[in-house]
Amino acid sequence: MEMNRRQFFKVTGAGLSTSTLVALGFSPAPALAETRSFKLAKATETRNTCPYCSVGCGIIMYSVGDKAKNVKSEIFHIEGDPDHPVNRGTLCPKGAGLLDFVHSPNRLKYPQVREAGSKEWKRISWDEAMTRIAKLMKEDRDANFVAKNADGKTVNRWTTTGMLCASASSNETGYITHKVMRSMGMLVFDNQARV
Amino acid sequence: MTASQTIPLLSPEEIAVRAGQQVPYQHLPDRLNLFFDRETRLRQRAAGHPMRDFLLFAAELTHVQHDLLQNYPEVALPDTDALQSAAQVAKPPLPAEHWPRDPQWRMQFRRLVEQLLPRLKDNPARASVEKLQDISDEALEQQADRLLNQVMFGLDMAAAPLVAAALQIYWTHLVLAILARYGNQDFSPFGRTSDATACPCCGSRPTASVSRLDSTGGQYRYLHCSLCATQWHMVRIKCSHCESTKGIHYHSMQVADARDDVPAKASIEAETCDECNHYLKIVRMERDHEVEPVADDLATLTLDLLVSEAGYLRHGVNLLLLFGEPSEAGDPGDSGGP
Repeated sequence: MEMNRRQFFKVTGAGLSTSTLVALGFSPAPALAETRSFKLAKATETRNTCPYCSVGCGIIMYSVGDKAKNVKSEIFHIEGDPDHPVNRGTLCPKGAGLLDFVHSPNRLKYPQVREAGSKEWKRISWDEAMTRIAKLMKEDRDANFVAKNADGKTVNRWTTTGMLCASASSNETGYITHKVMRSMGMLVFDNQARV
Repeated sequence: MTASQTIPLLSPEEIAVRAGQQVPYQHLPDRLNLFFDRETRLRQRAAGHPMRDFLLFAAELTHVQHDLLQNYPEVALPDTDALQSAAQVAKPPLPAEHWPRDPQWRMQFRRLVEQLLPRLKDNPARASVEKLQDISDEALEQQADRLLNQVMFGLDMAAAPLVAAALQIYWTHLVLAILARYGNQDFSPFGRTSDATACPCCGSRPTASVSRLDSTGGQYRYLHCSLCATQWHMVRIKCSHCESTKGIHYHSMQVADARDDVPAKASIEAETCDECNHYLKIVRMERDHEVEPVADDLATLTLDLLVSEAGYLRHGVNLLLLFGEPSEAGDPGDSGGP
């Protein structure tokens, strides 16, 4: 029975010769011949969240190619996700321009630094960037950490450094951000990009 | 093109009105338009098509379906208790596989054959349709059982599309008649069932998905039932066979010597799933307003052949075009699957 059921839906060139099409008196030849003049084009649709603000609109990104080697993959269209309960397929002007954002030549792709007094942005490695940030944060925290307030109460706060995180983060990312920053006593941080 | 071209600007009032809007879960068939639109689309697609004769045959068949549906005689309907008890266990109220069919459907089958024959003057299918004039009631019921239970063994392939056409009218009428008799603001006879991949009215498999442009501004994906033509909502980018949201791709036809880097924007695509290896076609109204799931499914047989060659199994059912057993022995690669 199960075999029968599967066969019912199975599409093959050979199966076409015993299909309802042929049983009714039609020729399968033109349909079979047509397959030779066509090939398959593959597109992918990917759900994501708009990175701009904390509304968190759902988007669908349309791309061609796949992630396999030697195949160029490219996003060619972005639109609001009609099924997303927040935006129901709509996007604000910034969100509607996301495709240009993705393909922008000015997009930041690596860490850069502008030294105090300099006009130039200088490219640095991720290692350099991490070490530098860690060093500066430690210096600042050592100098400005407040362990007790004027009344002698323990407060353990560090208010001279802040952090701005992305808005399109998941709950889990938000949780980790909170744990890492709060454990150092940092109070000023936000998961928002109203910029 | 940029995304902004397809997105309308909404006024603050429109945004406020839409805020509380729910996605309509189902679109029940429309008695006046269902087969009429399908026939129109079949004729449109038949022009210059390699399967022209077959599409025109399907158009004539659909024409007769339309005529019969307009004056369908009264048939036995389930009572509200039956509808409610089906709803309580989240089952479709008109299950195709073991529904006690009203004998009236056989009368309608005979009228269908009678009305179809004069329309098939030069059509290659005329001879096989003529043979169906004297099929017995028992044989007809047996064929219907096999079709609705998806049993290939003993299925008469030449009779199947016509038997299916008669069953489609019967089930579509059942849905519409129940809606007309019981449907009101307090009671909706059809609703969500436990299996999101099967029709909420009759439990059948879909023919294809349709990405609809609704008057309310929604642009949702619905699955189109192969038997009663009900359309039910399923979110996009989700496999309609295993409900996976991973590894979903869209395959469309491209002329063999086309450049690869041109983005495909076809109005008919095969939605394939890498998790369960099945596919279902999707027809997109936002790319072509005229698409109709059943007609466009028949007209894109080439896409089926190409996608099947690539190793995917068809999940959609089109009762007008069923595939037979290939002449070679069974495919050993086909032993797994759900």
